Amino acid sequence: MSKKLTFFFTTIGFLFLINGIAQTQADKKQIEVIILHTNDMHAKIDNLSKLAYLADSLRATHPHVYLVAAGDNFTGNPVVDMVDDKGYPMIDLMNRCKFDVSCIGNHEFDLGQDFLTKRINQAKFPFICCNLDATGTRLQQPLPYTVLYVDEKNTIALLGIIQLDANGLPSTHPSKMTGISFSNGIESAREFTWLKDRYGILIGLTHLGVEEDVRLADSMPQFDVIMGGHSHTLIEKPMFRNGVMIVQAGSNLKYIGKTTLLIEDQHVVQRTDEIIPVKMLTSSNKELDKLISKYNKNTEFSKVVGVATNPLDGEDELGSMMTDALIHELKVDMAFQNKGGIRVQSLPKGDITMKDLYKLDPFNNQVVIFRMNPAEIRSLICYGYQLEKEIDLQVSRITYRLTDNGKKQCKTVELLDNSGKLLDETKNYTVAMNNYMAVAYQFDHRDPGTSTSVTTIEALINYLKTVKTIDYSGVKRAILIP
Amino acid sequence: MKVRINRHAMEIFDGATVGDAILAHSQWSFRKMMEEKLIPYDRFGNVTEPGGAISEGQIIFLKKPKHHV
Repeated sequence: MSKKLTFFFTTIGFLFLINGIAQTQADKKQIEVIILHTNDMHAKIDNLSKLAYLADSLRATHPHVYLVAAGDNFTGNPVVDMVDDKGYPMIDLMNRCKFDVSCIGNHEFDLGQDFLTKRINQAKFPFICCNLDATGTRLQQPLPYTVLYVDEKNTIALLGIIQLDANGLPSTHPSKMTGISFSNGIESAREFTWLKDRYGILIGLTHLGVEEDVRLADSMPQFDVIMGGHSHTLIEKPMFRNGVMIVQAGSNLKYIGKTTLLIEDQHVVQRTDEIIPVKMLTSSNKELDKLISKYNKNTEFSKVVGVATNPLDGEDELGSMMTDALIHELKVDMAFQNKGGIRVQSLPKGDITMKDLYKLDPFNNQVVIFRMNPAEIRSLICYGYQLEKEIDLQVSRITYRLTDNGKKQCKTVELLDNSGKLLDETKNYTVAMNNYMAVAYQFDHRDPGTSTSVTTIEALINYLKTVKTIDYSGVKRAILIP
Repeated sequence: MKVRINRHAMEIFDGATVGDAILAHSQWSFRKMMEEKLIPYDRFGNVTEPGGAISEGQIIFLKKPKHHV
């Protein structure tokens, strides 16, 4: 081969080599991905206009910005939860913020399967969950995961996981989840380790609580990041466990988490997270401000939900209505309401609006159910009596007669069923009360109790909407015998 | 379920929140928490908000506030 030819081939080879190196360097270029994460927004819509502004500002300057929610978007604000089209304002606003994905949280089920399916269909982003099977139910089966296509080469898979209580169900009323089967979150997630191989980057978008997120990280180092919810934990500095970064941003949209990933050749080479307090954000999306204001001025609160044929005066009548509502909602044997939780003195004859009911019961208390025998029920009644130095607890499905020992303490308490017979001392009864009583009252109970995730106000509204007309005139179920 | 607030072990209803557990622990502590004079922290040192779910075996530490974001 001539020297000229050798020179030619050497030069061509060199050019190919240079081109190859350049190509490899181009392939290995680093890409910055920003993921804004929220969790447990609980229908707190007021700050969504600030979130929208922040997300849009970042999108204007960064090509790869995503917005995700780690569940419990609903429940916690009557303008979202108690309107006829339950949950719609939240989905409408989340669509306008351009959310990319949400995990399903336990409180998503509070809407009921029909409303949740409607909301999922309206969402312009997927709801994901890998450990529920909705086959044969009214709920639309969610996808287990979704994929963010960063560019032609880099992809991020997000896997959704929901928490389960000791009973194997998420924390909401079991009636809301009829027919849906759930499997252990961590075990289910392990069936998706292949996502890491296929998509390069794997994020857990979980509604498990931070304790379970740590166990998940211990079990699955394939996750690059776990973005969590459920425990309302403010992780100010990201936690690292088994090589996995765990983040969470408090609750009620008081904070926004901002995770920044530096990606190179389908792998994360750097991960950081910061917490942005929403109160520090001064700009908001004006269009969303107007819409939020419209939702907050919801006229449904002035709508009539029932009619009182006579005024309801005093704690006996009001408390009887409130406890009847718990019986109606939860089908328990009896229900109690403490005096301190009855916040108005009376309701006038005539129309009762939702606003009236929120004034009567403003605490958003949840209902807890205990299995109790008559001796335990007496100890509950007596604690209330000693606390208030007078009859404290109003009741439904039973009546009681209390005698005082002269020291503002119980001497005797007779518990009578609706036919006037004494309760069976050997029997256990299901007893409903609000969560305040469940923890602040000191009474004997072998059963530690179970939250129903139903609120007392929700029960009250549903009761009045069902019975439509009420008359509690002269009702007195708790009697102090002098 | 069994949980702990500082050194105090207690049994509380399933589905309880951090706030429920602190109220069960002591009404004084609950008031101080609502006034933000005591803050609940988890075992990793993160702030846990009162509405957050508490789980079996969890420990909550009630402490005076550190500087937060």
